[in-house]
Amino acid sequence: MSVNYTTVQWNRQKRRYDRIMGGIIALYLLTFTLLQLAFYPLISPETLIIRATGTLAFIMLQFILCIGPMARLDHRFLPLLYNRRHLGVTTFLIGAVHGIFNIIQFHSLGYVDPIFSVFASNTHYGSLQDFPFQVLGFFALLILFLMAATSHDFWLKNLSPRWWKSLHMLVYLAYGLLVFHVMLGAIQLEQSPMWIGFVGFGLFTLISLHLMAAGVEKKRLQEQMDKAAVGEGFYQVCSAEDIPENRAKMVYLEGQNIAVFRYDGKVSAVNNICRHQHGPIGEGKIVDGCITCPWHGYQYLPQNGQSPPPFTEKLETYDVKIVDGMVWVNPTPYPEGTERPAAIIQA
Amino acid sequence: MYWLQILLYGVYAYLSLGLIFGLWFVFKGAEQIDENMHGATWPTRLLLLPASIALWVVLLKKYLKHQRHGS
Repeated sequence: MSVNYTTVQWNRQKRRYDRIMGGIIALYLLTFTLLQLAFYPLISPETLIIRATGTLAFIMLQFILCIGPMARLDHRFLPLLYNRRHLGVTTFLIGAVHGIFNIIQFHSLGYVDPIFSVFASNTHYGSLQDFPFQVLGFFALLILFLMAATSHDFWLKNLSPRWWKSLHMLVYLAYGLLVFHVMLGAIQLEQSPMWIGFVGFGLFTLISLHLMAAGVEKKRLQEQMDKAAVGEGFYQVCSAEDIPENRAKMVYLEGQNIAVFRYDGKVSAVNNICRHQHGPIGEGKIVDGCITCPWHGYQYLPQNGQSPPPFTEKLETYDVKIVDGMVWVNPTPYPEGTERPAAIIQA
Repeated sequence: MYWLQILLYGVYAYLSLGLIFGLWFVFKGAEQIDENMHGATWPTRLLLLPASIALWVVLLKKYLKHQRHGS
């Protein structure tokens, strides 16, 4: 949040997240090494590192891309979103080990520049069978580097959230490049169709999850619009009882993405987009009296949308009223940080 | 592949300039465009270095704009 920058914004939950992530990575590397040694006893340490880090980075990227839709389909996956940034940076670092070892082993022993060699050692760019798949991995790694290098909050603020978000959406391009990197590499180097099946299954899972999440979201919005009754600028969004304590109902009205929170026998509405990385505020919960974004823990007071001092982030607020137990929201936003009276839920 | 060699030299030149700019930026320039950088530690500044090298043209543009407008 807007105080002086620190190197890494750790807290108890993020440390726990990172410890679990480190444990799973160590377990994967150990298992992979033992299996490789069992099936290929003569494998060199360099090849083992290249294979272990390459497969791990690809699996991690696949997993990262699945977290978003999984969390939308089932809120029990929300904790995975919380520290996805560290997962992404770790994925890049593991991918970088894979790339660096590849360049050292296959491109640095000749008399030409190693990077030049990546592009020029195999020039069958017109052939599917012999395509220089390493080039695809190089560009994917470049995208992952840019994302990891700009993951600090300094970049989010100074590149502007829109620019930053666009840059980080390139992750899908990186994933596509890596799919072809693995497919074309596997076609050339592996006899077994296992790797192609493995990548195909991952791709299918990822696309299915995104389509399912989009379908559920579309249905939710449609149901909301069908149900919404309108009166004096207010839309009826749900019964107060439908909102669990310290949680929110998310509504999309007249182009406004709104999170309606219930807490301490009251209801307040704020804009649903976190000022940090545009995370969905409404998927978070109220902790210590503050709305807490599920992505990185940014906090806002429900009645005025302001981050508690000394932080300065602010959200737009909206008028809310409760009539006969039903929550009504006026989607006309008040300027960021404007205090609006909460609607009291009658016992 | 002559063109590729030339292109690669261009990238190396860009990154070399980026390294010079980046070192200056993370230790001096960054606090002039972002007040939250005041008091940032060495590790935090070094963490910003890789992207400062890669995106130095964007940062230079932002820095110059900031100097012109003074905000």
